[in-house]
This record gives sequence, structure tokens and C-alpha cells, in this order.
Amino acid sequence: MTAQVTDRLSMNALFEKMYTIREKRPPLKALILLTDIEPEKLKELVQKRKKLSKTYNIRLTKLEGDLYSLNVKRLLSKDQISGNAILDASSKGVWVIYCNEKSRFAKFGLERLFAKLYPDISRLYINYYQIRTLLENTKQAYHGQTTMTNFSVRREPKVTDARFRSGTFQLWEEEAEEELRSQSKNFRLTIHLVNFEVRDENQTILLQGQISRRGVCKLRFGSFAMFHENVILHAIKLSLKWRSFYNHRERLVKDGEILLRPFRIEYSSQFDEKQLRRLSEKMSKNYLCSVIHGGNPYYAANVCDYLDGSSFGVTALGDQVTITPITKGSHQAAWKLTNRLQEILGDGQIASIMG
Amino acid sequence: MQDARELELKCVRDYSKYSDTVAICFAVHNFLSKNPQIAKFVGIEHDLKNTAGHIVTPDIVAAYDNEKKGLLFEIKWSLPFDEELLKKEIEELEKYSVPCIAWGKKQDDSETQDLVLICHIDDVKRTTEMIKLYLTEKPASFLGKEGFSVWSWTITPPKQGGRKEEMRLFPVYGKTRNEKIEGLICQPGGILFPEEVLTYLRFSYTFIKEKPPLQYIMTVLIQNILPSFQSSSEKESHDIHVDMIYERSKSFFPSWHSYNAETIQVKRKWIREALEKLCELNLCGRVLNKDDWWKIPIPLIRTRKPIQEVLCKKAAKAYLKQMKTKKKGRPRTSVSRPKASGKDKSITEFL
Repeated sequence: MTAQVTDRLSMNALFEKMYTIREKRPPLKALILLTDIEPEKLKELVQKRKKLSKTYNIRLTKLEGDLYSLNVKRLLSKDQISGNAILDASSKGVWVIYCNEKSRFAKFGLERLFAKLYPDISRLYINYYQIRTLLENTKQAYHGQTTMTNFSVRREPKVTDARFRSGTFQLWEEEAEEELRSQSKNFRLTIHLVNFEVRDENQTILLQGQISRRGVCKLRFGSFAMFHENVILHAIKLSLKWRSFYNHRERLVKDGEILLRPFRIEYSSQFDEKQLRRLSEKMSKNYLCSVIHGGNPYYAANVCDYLDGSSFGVTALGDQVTITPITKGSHQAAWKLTNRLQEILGDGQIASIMG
Repeated sequence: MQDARELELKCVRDYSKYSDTVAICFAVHNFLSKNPQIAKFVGIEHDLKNTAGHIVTPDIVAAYDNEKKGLLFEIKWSLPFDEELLKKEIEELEKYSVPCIAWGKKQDDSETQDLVLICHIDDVKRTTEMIKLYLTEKPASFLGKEGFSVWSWTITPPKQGGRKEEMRLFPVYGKTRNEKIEGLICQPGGILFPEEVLTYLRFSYTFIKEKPPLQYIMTVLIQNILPSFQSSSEKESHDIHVDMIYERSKSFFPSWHSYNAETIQVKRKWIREALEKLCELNLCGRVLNKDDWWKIPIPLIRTRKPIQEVLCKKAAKAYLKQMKTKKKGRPRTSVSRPKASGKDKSITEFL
């Protein structure tokens, strides 16, 4: 459908028309990405990566200003998937990819493509607390009421207790936020996605959408203009805020002195040996690690991002995980690492440490 | 002969010992910097000239009592198991008993100077026994006098049911003449370091003055230094000169900015030895006909195990294979290792 789009006006009109009528169709996916690269260089980026260029064929056409039409073809082992999307680069440092194709293309065609373009292009990672902030902003913007209808979370008991089981957990109820708060007393929670609704005073649905941990916002029903203004623009603002938080944190030498800019993830309960052993095992799968203490219950390791070359000191002690960027320490790598740690240990509050 | 697993475990343990010793060095540095009323921190690896005209470089130098008195810290990550080598190591401490001059801004020479030897808990018993033995031979040695002490350290959970681990420094032998520091170190539980020491301060620097085990330097190169040359997300081979690696790693040595040419050469030698070992383990290669140029794939290794474990396993296997070949009388085919100088002690013998 996005093939019909010729400029921003026609894009807005198309999405506005499509999603204000109740009809069975794939939701509009808005994938938020962080990059300082010009969209025109996207094809070059793909071609530079040997493996990627063997399976992907992309075509980028400029529509107007910062708006592009993107056609992606991916060769899978048995077949080929292809589809269209719109690339909007109007916010500096951010690309928003709009796609109303089926989920299979969005997931295995688009998302996989941009994941492989890391660190040139990086994802927006948000945790439970950031999603809540985003929803609060949405609620205020709509002057209505945000009712979360569904949560998908992974939960891990804080203490070993037969009553509490770990695993992926779904909450299907209105006002599920309260239930989630009470769950957080006994479990470490890692949020995957939230489906939400915004209703007015008469309980008329204004917006039905979804926000995922990896920066995909979906519009199922509602005005696209409102969705763009009240959800997408807030998500962009959030991503730029956190990008600046993770930026410029590498270890520096100033007048012969070493300057560290560590940050931490704070939790409401202490880690036990089992959790830290699991952390040690899981981290080694994605990062080059040299583990100094494996979790007794103190975890200390030096980790290096294979794709980016950034290295970090990571410790878990008491109820805090401390991340100290060492060499390079790019914002992309710092954010990705923080997300990975939270995927393993649960979502926590992120804060700077004044060194 | 030791088996591969035994060698590997010792090798990995040495890596952790050195890493924790780096943490303790900066814990002491942090402690002195934050408590100038106890002793004023003068420097890390600070050169001091003694009255005999020699330069000595303790790990940490501090001054107290209006900078009239000196306090030196010598930190050892490992001490030899061999009694003769251990005795030699202890004898070498005598150099710190010669009065030093040119201490700080206020005072040229000190009235007294104390030495604290900080060693790993594994080495404490042997070291104190050797000191006592040494004193029976040389009772007049400064090791038996006031002003010399041995401390050690632990990382353990607190006793009263808490679960958060702590780093503590405690006295083992002798005492210093600094009453304030003695008051703290002799209290039950010794000196408790702040949490930052275990969280981020341990990543301030990577090396102390003492030579690290080879597996430690290799790991630091793979983990922190070589990835800084990475220009693409895909594995690529880079031609890198040893000086380029030294340039990028120098800020990991605490007093790199005041190094003289000789010290720089020593540190470059550490790096070269590690590169030679990586080459021997088939992880990188040399650039043909170009001295000190190395062909290094980056990322150098991909593994789901801790790097030091992988390196130690490979090194142990290579060592045993070499021993086997030697027994059969075949000539050595692998890249030759530089010979250790007389001063170098055998750190991890098989490496």
C-alpha cells in the first residue's frame, strides 16, 4: 500500500484513512532507529556487509525532503520475502520506518535488516519505567485516559520460592498496570510489549496501539496524525534523551588523570548467586567476556561488543549493576548492553554515577 | 607432570589474582586520596631517589606528619612458591629501607619511612614465615623493626547475614609508625573499602607496576585494546605495529605520563611478548619482512567462554604438546619465546 505514497501529505492521508476505519488489516508499524547516517547511504551500508548483501536487495527512492520510499527483498532459506516501507528522517539523528505490510515482512525483512546494520544504525531500547513515562505522556497529550489492556513480561522470582514460577507471563485485563506493580514485589520483571488503548470520557476508543521493548510502535486503530504527534514524537524525544545519556561516557584521560563516567541500573532487591551465575552464562553468549568474579554473589567482568569494539566493565553487587565504559564506549553499545543486562536481570532504574 | 586441566586452572586463577590486585592498588590509592589526614598521597609508581643514589619506585607513596614521614606501599599480586626465590624477593624489599630524598613539595627528606607489603592471601603464610626465618639469619634487618608491616586483603560477604560482598584490608605482620592508619587497620575487620572500589574504580587502570601474567596482558589486548582498531562490524585483518598498540594501551598504566624511555621499552616488551604468545596460539600472525608489525584479525576471537579460560586452555595444550615433542627429541617448531631476564620471575611457568 505504501507504494502509492508520493509525498508526506499522501502518506498522512493514506494512514489516516486506513486506521480510522474498523477493518481487519495489519497494524501500522513504526520502527524507531537511531543513526546519524544520511538515508542515501543505506544501500552502501548493506553492500559493505558481505553476508547482508548476499541476502538483501534494497531500493531507496526519495519522495520529498526527508521522506523516502524503501523496497526490501530478503532471500530466506526456502523463499523470498519482500515489501515496502516509508523512511522518515525528518528528526535529526532518528529514522522512523513506517510499514503496513504483514508482520512476517516487518519482523524478518525490516527489523532483521536494521538489526544487522548495528552499530551504524541502532535500535531504541525501552524498559518498563520508560514505557510508563511514554504512556503517561500519551495520556496527557490525549487529555483522556490510557488504559493498558495487555502486558507481555518475563518474570523471575526475586527469591527462591515454589509459589513463584519464572517464565513469560501475560496480563489480559484493564488497569493491568496495578497488577503489574503488585507483581513487581515478588518478581523481577522484563517487559516485552504493552498493548494500550486511549478512551475519552464517553469510553469511545481514540487510539489502540502497542509499544515494544525494542522501539516498535504499532497503530491498530485511531488517527494517524494523533498517533504521530502523541506517540511517535514522544518516542523520538525519549530516544534522543537517552541517547544523550549514553553518549560520551568512554574512559578519558585529562591532564594525566583518568575520568570515568559510569552509570548503574538500580533494583529493589539484592541479587543472589543463582541470578548472577545466569548473568555470567547469558552474557558470554552475546559478548566477549573476561569474568573476574562469576557471582558469589559478586559479579565482575570486562565485556566487549563484538560488532562495535566498545568495551565495558560490568559489576553486579548488592542491588545494583554498574556499567563503566572503558575503550570506545559508544552510545549504541552502552544502550544495547544496558538492555541486554535488563533482559537477563529484569528492568531497573537507570541513573548516572557521579564519579 | 601436571595435566592440562591443572595448568589451565592455575593460569585462570593467576589472571583473577592479578586483576584483584589491580583493584586493591586503586582501593589504597582511593583511601589515601580521600583521607589526607591519615597520609597525604604523593603518587603511584612515584620515583624516589635514596641517599645511596639509587632510584626506587614503590607502588604507592604517601607522606604524613606534615610530610616529614614517608609511607611506602609495595603490592605483590603473587610471590614465588620456591623458597629461594621468595627469600630473594623479600631481600629486595631492603632497598626501601634506605632513606629517600626529594619526597614532596614541603620536605626534601623524611625523618622516617615505613613500608607496607600488601600481598595476596594465598601468599601471606609463606611470606611471613620466610620473613621470620630471614630475621633469624639477619636480626638487624629492617624487616624486624618498627616501620615494616605486611597486610593482606579479602573480598567476602559480611558476617551478619548480609549478602553484599565487601573488600577489606587487614594486618598480618609488623606495624607502621603512622598511628592513624594503625588505628584503622588494627580494628576488628581491618579497613573496609567503599563500594566504588568493587564497582567502577577497579576499571580506572588495568596494570600495576609488577609484570602481569601473560594471559592477563593477552586478555586486555583482546578485550580493550585491539577492538579500538575495529573499523567494521565484520571480521577484518589489520596490520598493526607494536607502537600503535602501546600508544592505545599506555593510559592503562597508572603513571604512563611520567615514564622514561626505559620504562616504555619494558611495557612495549610486555605487549610484544603477549603478541608473540597469541601468534604461537595461532590467533594472529606476523607481517612478513616487517619487524614488529602484526597481522591481527579483529575481533580476534569469538567464544562463549571467558577469554582467559580459552587462552589458558590453548596455552596449556600447546605447552603439553611441546613437552611431548621435546621428550621425543624433535626440534621445536613453534615461534620462540623471548627468554626471561634474571629479574623476571616465573609467573605462570608454562606460559
